[in-house]
Amino acid sequence: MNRRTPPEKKTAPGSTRRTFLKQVSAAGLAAAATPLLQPRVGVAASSEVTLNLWTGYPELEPFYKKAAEEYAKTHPGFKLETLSSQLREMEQKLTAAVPTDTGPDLFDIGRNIALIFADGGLLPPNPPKVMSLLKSKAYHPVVVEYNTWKGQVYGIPFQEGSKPALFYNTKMFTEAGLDPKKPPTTFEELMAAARKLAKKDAAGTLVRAGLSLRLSGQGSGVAEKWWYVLHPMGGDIVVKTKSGKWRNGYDNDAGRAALKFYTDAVHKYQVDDPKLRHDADAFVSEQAAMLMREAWVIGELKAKGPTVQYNTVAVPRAKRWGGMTQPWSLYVTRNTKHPDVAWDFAQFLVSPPIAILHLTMTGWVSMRDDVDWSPILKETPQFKPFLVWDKARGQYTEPAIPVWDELETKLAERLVAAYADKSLMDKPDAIAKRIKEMAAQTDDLLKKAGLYGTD
Amino acid sequence: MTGKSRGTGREVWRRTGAPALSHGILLVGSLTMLFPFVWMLATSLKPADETLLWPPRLLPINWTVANYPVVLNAAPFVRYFLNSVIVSVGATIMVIATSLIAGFIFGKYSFPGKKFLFLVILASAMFPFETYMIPLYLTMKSLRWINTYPGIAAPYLIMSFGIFLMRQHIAHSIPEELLDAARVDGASELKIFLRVIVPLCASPIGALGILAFIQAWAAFIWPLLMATTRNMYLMELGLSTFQFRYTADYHLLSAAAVLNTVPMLIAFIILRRRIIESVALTGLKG
Amino acid sequence: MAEASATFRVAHATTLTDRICRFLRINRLTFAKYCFCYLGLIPVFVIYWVLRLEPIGRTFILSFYDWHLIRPLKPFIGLANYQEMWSDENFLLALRNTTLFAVFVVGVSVVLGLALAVFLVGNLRFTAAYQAVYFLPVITPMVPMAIAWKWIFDARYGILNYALSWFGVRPIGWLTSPDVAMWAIIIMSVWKVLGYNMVLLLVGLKSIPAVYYEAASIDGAAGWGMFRRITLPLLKPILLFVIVISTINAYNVFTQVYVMTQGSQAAPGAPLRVLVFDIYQNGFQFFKMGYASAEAVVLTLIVLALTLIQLRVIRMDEE
Repeated sequence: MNRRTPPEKKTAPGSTRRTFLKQVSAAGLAAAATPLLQPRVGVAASSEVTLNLWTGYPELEPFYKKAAEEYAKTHPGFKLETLSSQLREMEQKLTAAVPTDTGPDLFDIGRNIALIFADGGLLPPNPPKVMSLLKSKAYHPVVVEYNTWKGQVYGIPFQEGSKPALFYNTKMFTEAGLDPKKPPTTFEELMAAARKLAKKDAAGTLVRAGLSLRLSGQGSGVAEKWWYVLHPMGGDIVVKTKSGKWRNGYDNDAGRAALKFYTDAVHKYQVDDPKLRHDADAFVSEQAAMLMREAWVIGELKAKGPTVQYNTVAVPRAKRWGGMTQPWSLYVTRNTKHPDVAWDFAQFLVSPPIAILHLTMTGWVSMRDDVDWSPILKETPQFKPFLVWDKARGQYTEPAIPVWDELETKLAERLVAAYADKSLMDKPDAIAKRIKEMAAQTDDLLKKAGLYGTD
Repeated sequence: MTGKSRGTGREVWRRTGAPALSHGILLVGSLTMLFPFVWMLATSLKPADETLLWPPRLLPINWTVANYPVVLNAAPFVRYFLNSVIVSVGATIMVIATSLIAGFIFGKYSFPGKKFLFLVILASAMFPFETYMIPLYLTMKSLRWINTYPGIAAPYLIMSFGIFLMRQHIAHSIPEELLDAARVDGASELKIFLRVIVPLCASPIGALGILAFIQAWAAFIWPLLMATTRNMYLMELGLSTFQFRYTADYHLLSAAAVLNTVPMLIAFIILRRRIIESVALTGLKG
Repeated sequence: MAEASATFRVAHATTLTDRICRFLRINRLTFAKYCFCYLGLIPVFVIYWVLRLEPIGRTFILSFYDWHLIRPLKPFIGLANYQEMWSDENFLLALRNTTLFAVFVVGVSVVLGLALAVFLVGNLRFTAAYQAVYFLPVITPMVPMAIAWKWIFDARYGILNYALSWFGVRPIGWLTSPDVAMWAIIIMSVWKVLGYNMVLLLVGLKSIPAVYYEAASIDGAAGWGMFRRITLPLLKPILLFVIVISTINAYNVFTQVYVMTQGSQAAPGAPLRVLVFDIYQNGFQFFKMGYASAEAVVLTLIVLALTLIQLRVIRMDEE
């Protein structure tokens, strides 16, 4: 392909060059001006303290700001700078920042990350003042145990990440002939109610879930929600043996019953369907009659579904009765320039009056046992099962083993496949076989981590 | 219509009636392209209680523009906008400059090691960023660039694809005779670069400008890692203000997203003309 | 590169430059050119070294360790990570999914992008508006887009199923059945990159001088023939560019898959495992950073191999 005649002269080549040079010098100026544009955050005068707080819950930012204002009333010169992002991304950010001492003064995070920091010596242990608070009646021993690693306690339990209750739509209950004052208390009653509440259209497709279950999604959530059913039935994802080792806790009747519950729900009785909308969005838009979720759904209902008539009750029981507790804690970093102020402010954040602010502003519940919730309960009685824990009800938590996240995530993937498998319906042998396969993988992961034992 | 027409498109599609068919197809395609954006825009004009309606409605029942002031007050979006502009414009200029010079060198010269070096440049774009993010973070720490504009812009200051694009364009659209003619006139290589090559690259500069701008503007995880205080956040990060642990304020999120999209759209409109209507500057008409 | 001529040598005094030229057997002009090349590339490569090569190099080395990311202990385990990969069902699934994804996304988006660019390069009315509209998906942020697409793909109320129902197609669970989820993500990804390819191909089309078309039309070519004989061959450089970078981007897909199928925002997302997601999960969720680094190395090698094949097949000469 020959190139033919050379081109004509271009018009004003100099102009392009000039603009190019202009751009370059503009860039140069910008670069030179950069130091002037640096943010000036930090300590100024002696009584002025500015703390940096990072959170993986963007909805908490307004609350933190308000709490800081309250704190500043008794501590003039105090300022709080907050930074938030989605949880996974914030975990990544902390993972990069904390080990390199480029992190904040305070942060809130789940135990999966905090444990690793503690194990790497990256977190300072709690000071005595904080320890006396934790050992007091304010906190349940299970919660303090949760934050303990190798004999040391880290962080202040701040917010309940779990402890779900059963949400149910009272209007739908009445329409289905159920008594809204007598919600289900056992899993049999739950399934029976779900069957009455599920609605199908003329073509037989499910348009309203009787009970909205977590049937799919990334991460470990599917396994965690399965545990809500597994635990009352008598099983756990992993159990600790007498010698301190671990093995799977669901290759038994409890596990089989829990999987059967889901298979029945989706295929046999058709009270839920993967094609439907799920979770809080579904309950708020009245596409689900019942849902097991945490307290924040109440806030969602107030904002996005103010006409929904609903109530809440404790999650049903079977062989045993208990709820999962998943404390989220506040931690002070080792590179903070104001450890005293940081710990003091952290304690302030969990004090009872601020705990009430925490609940009303964000819908998340404090970890403390000694808060007087009566004003809240008067206004929104639906908060009761979250705030008042029945003495007969137990609490369980995730085990503190490093391979837990991977274990739960891989179990979740297998559960999603199992839920979608219609061939498991009414086939106890097939269900038993599936459970056995899943348990084998769990045990395998424990073995790889050197944590497996049978006694 | 012969010879002098600028209508390259006409030469390609000669048949009559083609315009009508074209419009038809393009319109249908346009609807598909637009629909998610229209949804986003519509949601930004809905009040909170309409965001979860089922069956879903596209258009709001009660139109409201109140979401926009709420968004602007919820977080310092003006500051975020400024940060995004500084980072994106800086990145764009650096990418264009480096791509032009490297593209020219790889496109018009032979020298030992050329193939290898070019492959290294290309291969570095294949390695997933998430994997070397942490070592890069450590480098930023030692350069003291954490929470600074250069630090935030760092990965976007250079673009292998940019060098590749310039190389392809320069190698295949600029005849060697032009360079030789300039050399005969006594121009140095640098002069040839500035006076011959750069003006002839108006079109790919425009395209690359847009792509570099967008890459920086839409960046998320790196700016998040780099910013340790709110006032260094970029607009894309500001969107997460409205995404909560298990749900989101869709109406506010959509409003913020609309605000975030508009600058990129403006950048495109400005640079589009450079790309498309730069025929005059290529000067390669017979 | 001609040898230095005798006249040349006589005309100039023996300088260092001359000595170097004589040693390397090149003439002054070539020397000047080489200097320009290397000097011009130095700033570029310095930046590359700091921002890309050094961190990537570190990651590559880490792939031979059992690195936890936070814990400082790093036992050297040689090729163990690589060996583990080939028996890891998640990795193999990710590899299969990503390859399938790349083949379709690249194929469809390049062909459609080319068609689009051809339509819009001419004097059709409203070209500017069309270009802006088709480019819009490239610039809209991922998260709100994912929410909109989740609605489009909804099994009961989604627009897509509604449109398909006109042709008598029964409702498809786009995001809920694992086999179909891949196609949903492919459709959405094509939608997202179409405008990107369009812009680049417009550059290519515009740089084809009108001269060629005129000459060809004099020779009697028209329409499709013109396209095949003139446009396509002259478009090769940019077309190759578009194909290569589409492939690289497709193999590196992450954000849209992550956002479309994650559990929050109440969407019924069936998990779709792609390579970068597997890397991300292993590195940042399970903290097996050494293993994740090894996966990244393998991903890069695969893409590099594909790119070299593409460069060879479309046979561009390096000049």
